Amino acid sequence: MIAALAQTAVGEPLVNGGIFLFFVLVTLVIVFRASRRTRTAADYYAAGRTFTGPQNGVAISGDYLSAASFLGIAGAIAVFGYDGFLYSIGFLVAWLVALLLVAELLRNTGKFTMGDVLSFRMRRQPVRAAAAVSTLVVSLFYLLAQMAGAGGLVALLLNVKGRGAQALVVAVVGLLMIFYVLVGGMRGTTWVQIVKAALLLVGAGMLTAWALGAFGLNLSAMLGEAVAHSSHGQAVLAPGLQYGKSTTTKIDFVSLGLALVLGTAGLPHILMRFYTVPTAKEARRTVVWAIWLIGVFYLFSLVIGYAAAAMVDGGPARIAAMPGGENSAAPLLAYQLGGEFFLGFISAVAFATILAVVAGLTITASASFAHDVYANVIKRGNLDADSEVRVARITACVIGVLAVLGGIAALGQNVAFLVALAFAVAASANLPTILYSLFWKRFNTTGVLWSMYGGLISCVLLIILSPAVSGTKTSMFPHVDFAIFPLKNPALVSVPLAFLLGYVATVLSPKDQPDEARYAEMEVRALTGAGAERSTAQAAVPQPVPHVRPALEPNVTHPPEVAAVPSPRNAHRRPVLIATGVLTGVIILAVSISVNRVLAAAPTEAAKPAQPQITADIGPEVAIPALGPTIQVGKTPGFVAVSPNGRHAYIANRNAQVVTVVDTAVNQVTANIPIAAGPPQFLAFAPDGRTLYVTIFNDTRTIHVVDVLDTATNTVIGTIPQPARPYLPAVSHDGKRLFIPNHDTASVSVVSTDTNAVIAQIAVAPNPHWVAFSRDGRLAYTANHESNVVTVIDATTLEVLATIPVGKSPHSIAVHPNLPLIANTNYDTNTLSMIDGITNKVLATIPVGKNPQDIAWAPDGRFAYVVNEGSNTVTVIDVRTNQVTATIPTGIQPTSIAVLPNGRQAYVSNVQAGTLTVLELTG
Amino acid sequence: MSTAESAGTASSGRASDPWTAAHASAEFATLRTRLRGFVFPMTAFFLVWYFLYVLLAAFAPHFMAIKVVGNVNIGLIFGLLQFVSTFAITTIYVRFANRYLDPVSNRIREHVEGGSW
Repeated sequence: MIAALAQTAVGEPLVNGGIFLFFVLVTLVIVFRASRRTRTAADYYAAGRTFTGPQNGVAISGDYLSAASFLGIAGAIAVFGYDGFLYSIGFLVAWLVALLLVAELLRNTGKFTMGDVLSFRMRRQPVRAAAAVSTLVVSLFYLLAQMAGAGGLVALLLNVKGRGAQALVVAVVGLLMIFYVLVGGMRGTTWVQIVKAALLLVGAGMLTAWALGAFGLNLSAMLGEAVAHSSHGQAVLAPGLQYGKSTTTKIDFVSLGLALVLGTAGLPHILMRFYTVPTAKEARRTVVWAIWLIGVFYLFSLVIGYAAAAMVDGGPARIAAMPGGENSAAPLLAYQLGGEFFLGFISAVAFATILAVVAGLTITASASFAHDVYANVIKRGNLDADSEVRVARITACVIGVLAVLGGIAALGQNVAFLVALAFAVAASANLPTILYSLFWKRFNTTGVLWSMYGGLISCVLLIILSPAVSGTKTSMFPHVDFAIFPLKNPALVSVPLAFLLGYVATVLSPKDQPDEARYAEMEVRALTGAGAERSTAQAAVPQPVPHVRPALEPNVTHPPEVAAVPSPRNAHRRPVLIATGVLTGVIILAVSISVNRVLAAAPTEAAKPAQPQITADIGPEVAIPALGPTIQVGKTPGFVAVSPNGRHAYIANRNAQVVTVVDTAVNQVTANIPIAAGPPQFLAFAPDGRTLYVTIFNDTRTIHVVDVLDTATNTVIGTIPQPARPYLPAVSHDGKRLFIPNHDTASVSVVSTDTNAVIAQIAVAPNPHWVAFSRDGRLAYTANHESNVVTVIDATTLEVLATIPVGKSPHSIAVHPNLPLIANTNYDTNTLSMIDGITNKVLATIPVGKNPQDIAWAPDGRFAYVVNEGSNTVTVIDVRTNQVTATIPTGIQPTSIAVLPNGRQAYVSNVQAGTLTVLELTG
Repeated sequence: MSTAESAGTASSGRASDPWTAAHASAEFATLRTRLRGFVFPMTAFFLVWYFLYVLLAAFAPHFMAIKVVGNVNIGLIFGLLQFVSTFAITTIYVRFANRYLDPVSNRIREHVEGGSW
């Protein structure tokens, strides 16, 4: 698994592909079943208006939450922190515009498309044409971004790297989408979206619960871990990483915020979904459901994003370096938490997301062309419904082919701005016209045309002249520069412009008098739903051919309420209940995961050499460890080390000249290995646990050697002479080199573990006591007692890279298990220094007990444990706050501490008491 | 079918058509006033509240970075409050519409469709 992670792809392509194939088969069956009920235009465009508000609410969430939402927002949070969160808020708040101003009025007034509403009281043909142009532009931009995104996703999830193979996948996605739309119509598309939305919420909910559970439901702890893993540090918790660079980028962000909040209610594929429900009241319920589901989903995204930063091996830097870039955050987190299968599930959800969204876009674009342009502009309304649906189906094929070709052309190009552009065009060209049409009596055809075309043209023109298209490294055309407009998002200019043009053009065209009777009719229809399009399920008479001029339908009596619609009182509570239920389920899951982790933290079986511990398997340690049993281990236990598999503790018993072995399962001495060369002082395991290096010297400094001990037989198999007293050594992560600090010669010996020969000496500041390797094994750190510095050594070239001033008499040093954080104890200033492993600066100096001699980290890095020789205590420090959380009494003169890999116990050697103190770290 | 049309014809003596008649009624004026009286101020409120957040995030990142509880800062709380306000406005609107809009609009619709205008 670790090997797979090291490669560029994530997980097993066969598993991902298999789960995806299953989704395709299920949706194909659904679409076939739906096709049997698709006969009329109302069936094809609006699913016969038979969906309930809740069903449509789920479907609209499925339509709205594109791959950009699912992978993009979580990824942006993982890499850029808070700025990713800002997106999701814009995407959510936007639904209030739809709820309060648009959804119900639109549902009551129109039939199939946005053009129906806009042309209601205007000169129909030019207005329909304008609405169709805007719809096609928005839908095609959005579609292109989705198709190009599909190519990138494939690279990440199926390990399809060649351009030809990616193009093939884009083509398959296109064919599936055409099939869904042709065969299933709006009914089939809606069901695909419902299935996808359910999968998406379940998948995101599971990720959220799992991640929160791993942090014991402590969001603050998760944020702290994300901070620690990010090279940006605390900045990931505040806005500004992505947009805060300059005043221009800040204004750009406000512009984006405007496009997001006003664009949603102008997206044609969202608006069209309101026609699939029987009444305005169901349209209202649709939006209510959508708001709750989308809101809950974005809350999940927030957790997933920060959890990915906190938990994925390698942190945000690795996420950003993956083939899918920041989009890989959620899949990587899924892999980290649930392995192959969970990754496969999340990947399938991502694919399903693309399929559902492209299908929705295609049916909208095809409807707009067939209904607005072909039937009502070209054929001037003289087209029967069957022919219109036939044209719509042909259009869907053409759009599908165009999308595939465009998607293939856009592969590997930066087209992410197209989604933002689609929102900007929707906000500038569509929304002002919709609002004026619904609420401003005087608005006329001239106003519509100026506002729509003005908004559309200004928007597209400004983006062509913006840095999104040319002039910067991330532009679509990076090598030319015609970016004279500074903002990447034009909404800040184009939206007010469209509102202004609509107003001015109306006021300045007094000859173009609005049809007051039609306005009266439209307003009455909009507000009351009188004469609105009925559900085909309940209409006694079949729907007539689409009208050129919508009129009161010949429904004699008001049809009875649909049975499925519950009473209004319950109607608005249901989504609240469901959303609360989903959240509660997630929290319960998270609680049970965190409880399980505490119970299941058994000792790990096999040794895991040089592998970063997976956080979810360990701990969690508590702030105040409990005092466990005391073990008698001989007269002078000076140093304790735990084997990498956690089964044994080895103790250097100085004056007894033995290495004592304790079985950690029963906490009893099982062996005493005689060390003939002299008093054993310090111990270091090779990563595989087979070899233990024992440093040996005496007080008179006549003996200075390192013994090589085979832990399988517990016998000494070799001896490495040293120039001076060898202190605590360390073995490199690959097991090939042993670094030994020589206390009296201000040097570090580098030993080949194959030959046990010293191959180099590195001069460092006097005098090195302790050696530790960085997480990636590329650096070695030494604590130099007499010169009050920590030395940073390149472990490959053996050059000294830096010296870091710390407190007085730095004695021991330990590297955090998964953060670039190094802690050392300062023996004579009674402090601990926390060093930033990236900047090599001391981040904090924390007072501990008297004469801190040794330090160890909890395996998951939550706490540091400091042994205070002079005050007979262990100090516990919370890495998130750098605060001391506990001071635990030990035996007399504690000198070292070793923590089990599972984080449950720590062993403290008390040299004068002749004992080991056991600390119960998980409480 | 004929009922609706004959209703329209019959009522044409009173007004040019049922829509204009309904539009001119006091009941419809009430409905429109109620709707606009709710949605316009509410829209203004949430847009101001949203842009306050956006502008603070863009131009006052240090204010947003102030920690409140643990690693949870003002920005995160402010962002989560946007979720809360969105959910709250949704709920308030649905209650309002069910109580004050639907009964009136239902009456008018029945009149129009029943041919009383």
